[in-house]
Formats: sequence, C-alpha cells, structure tokens
Amino acid sequence: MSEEDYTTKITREDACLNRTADDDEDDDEGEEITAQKVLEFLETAWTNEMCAPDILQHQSDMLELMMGQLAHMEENMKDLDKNDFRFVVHQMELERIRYVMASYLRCRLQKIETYTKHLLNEESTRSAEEKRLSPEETKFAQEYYENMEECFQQIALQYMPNTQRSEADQRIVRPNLMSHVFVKANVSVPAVVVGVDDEEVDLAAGSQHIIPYQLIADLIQKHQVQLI
Amino acid sequence: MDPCVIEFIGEKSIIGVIPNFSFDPLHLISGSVGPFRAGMPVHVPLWLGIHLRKQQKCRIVPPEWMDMDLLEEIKEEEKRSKFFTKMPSEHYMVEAQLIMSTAPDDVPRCEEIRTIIKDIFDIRESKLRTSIDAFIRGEGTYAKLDNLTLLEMHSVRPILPHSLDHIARYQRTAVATQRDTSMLGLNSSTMNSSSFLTQ
Repeated sequence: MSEEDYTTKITREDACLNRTADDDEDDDEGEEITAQKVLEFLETAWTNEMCAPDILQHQSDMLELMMGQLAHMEENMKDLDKNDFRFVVHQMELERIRYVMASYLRCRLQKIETYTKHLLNEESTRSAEEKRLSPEETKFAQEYYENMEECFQQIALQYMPNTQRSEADQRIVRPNLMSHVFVKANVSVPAVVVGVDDEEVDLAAGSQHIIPYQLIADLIQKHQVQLI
Repeated sequence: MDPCVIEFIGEKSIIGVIPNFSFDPLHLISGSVGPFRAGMPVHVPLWLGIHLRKQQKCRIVPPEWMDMDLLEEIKEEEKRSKFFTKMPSEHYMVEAQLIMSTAPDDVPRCEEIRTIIKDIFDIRESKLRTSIDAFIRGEGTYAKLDNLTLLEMHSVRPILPHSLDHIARYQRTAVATQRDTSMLGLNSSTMNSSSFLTQ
C-alpha cells in the first residue's frame, strides 16, 4: 500500500473514532462522554491531586476509558509510516496524555507510600461507593504496609524492649489537612467559611483564592472548585 | 508543581500559525485541528505550533497582545493599580517564552517585547511580595488572588503555603497553651482573617 492509502485509512478511522464518541453522547443512558471531555476531566483530577495534601477520590473509570481511547488510537496508527505527519502529531499527543496519566498515578502512589496506615484506616471506615482508593491501590497500600512492618520488625523492633514495641499508632503519618492551597472557583459558591472564627465569603465564578484545604475539601469533590 | 509542569499546562493554549503545507484536519483526542491550507492561518495548540515551527513547517502568528502599544498600556495600568490587573492571557509568560525563543523572527520588535513582558512580570512579582508581607503580618488564613497567573502563583508556591501552615500550627499551639493558662487571667489574642491582596 502506498502512503496515501494509509492516510486515507487513518482519516476514516479517525472520523469513525470521533463519530463513536458523538454517538455515545446521544445514548439514552447519558453515561458516555466524548474523549475530549474525559481528557479534560483527567487533567483536572491530575492538578487537583498534585495540589491536595490528602488523597482524592480515585478515577479508575475515567482512566480506563482513556486507556481504551489510547489503545484505539494506537491501533489506528499502527500501519502508518513513522515519518507521516499524522503519525508524528498523534504520537506527540498520546505521549502528552500518557504523561498526565502516569504523573497522576505516581502522585497518588507517593501519597499512599507516605500516609499508608492513615489511608488504610480511613478506607476501612468508608462505604463501598465512598472509597478513595481503587482496588489495586488498596492492595498496594496493604502490601506496602505489611512489608514495612515486617521490615521494621526484622531490623529493629524485635531487639527492643516490649514496652516500646506497641507504639505502632504513634508512627502513623497523617497529612496536614489545614495546609494552604490555591483554588479556583468553577461556579459561584456562596458562603464558604474561610477562617477559624467562621468568617464567610462568597466565591465568585472564576475567582482565585488561597485557603486551608479542609475548608474547601468537599467543594472539590463536588467539582465546584478546582485546585491550581 | 515544577516550572516544567506549568509550561506543560500552558502549552495547551491555542495560538495561530500559518502553515506552508496543506493537510486534512487531524482529529486529536483533545479536539480536531485543521484543515491546514498553505498560507491560511489556522488555530492549533501551542505545543503543536512550536513543533511545526521547529520543523520549519509554519510561521507563528504572534498573539494579539504581543504588541508594544498594548503592552505599554498594560504596564502603566499595572503600575497604577493597587491590585493585579487582568493579563491578556492566563499563561502569558509561558507563551511569550516559548514563542519568542523558538520563533524570534515571527514576532515584530521581539527584543523590546521580551523586555516589556519581563518588566510587567517584575512589577507583578514585587506587588505580590509586598501583599504577601502584609498578608502574613495581618495573620490571615485566607486571601483572594484574582488575576494572578499560574506561574506567578508558583513563584511563591513553596514558601507561602508553608509559612502559613507553620503560622497556623503556632497559633493552634498558642491557643492550646492559652487554655491551660487562662485560669491565670491572661488575655487572649484573637485571630482575624482578612484579604489584603484584593477586595
């Protein structure tokens, strides 16, 4: 096949890819969204995660969707010449999206490694739909915790007097939820408590603020504000 | 966030380029671009524009605000105003840096523009430092930061939130101590939060 053929092919497939996404939007279920929306969603989740002191709700579904999209795109590009203009541009975009996803997951892993026991404790009090960690992350956290405990035990704890052994609770690292973050309001949010003495302000849509995390944590969950 | 992450985010902004080749529209995941017609301006994400320019496949159309008169005005306004003025672009520093380092020839009066943008940035930075000083002295926990761009925020990112966190910690300790000593009749100081940056 000539290069021209490949080009036509990817055009068709590309158009096809976009059409599927559009069709999905019209679905009765109203559950499916376009690839573009998924990407925007993930990028917001990524910046939120990077800026938040605590771990946020996991986005496995969105990641899954995007992974599928990437695989689909790669499948389309497979036959394309490496120097084709399309190939280069699509490849660049894929790399950018992969970076966002990888950076997002890395950021979460870092938090899990730092606050292992704290997160596990928190998770055990949450109901199934409120879980912040994905099943894979929970497994990782569990194993990481067990291995660390085992390691401490082997290296030091077993040689220590009994009285000092049972201080596991004191070793729990907790995030500082009152640490200050930069937020941007997506919509106007009336009467947000901003100070220790219950002072309230209205956040106008598009306005930016610096504020202790805990005071706006629930607004992030509701997508009313985002961290920047 | 590292400066390179901020650049990465800034690279999503849209700029105009004039390609010297023709090509059908590209359906990227982040949205479609094109069609490319030689000599016809087309909007593309900054990252793509920079890539094409490096390949000598296009000329970059400088954003409207990269204009000496307009920037002079912004600079004067920034000097006059007590607060931060709205910048023409959310990522003006990133865009200016990327465009002018890759394609200095595409921007008329490039050197002058580079200087004036840096001037504006410096004015804003010094304003930011002064406000932060006032903010911390005022023992606030909350401030409004309208019109501050991402890069500017990150120029104070490590130090400002950290110092506020530390101050908050001291205050909590102080309150706790006060509770213990309140029976001795010591006065309690109140904490107030205020917005010094804008009102």
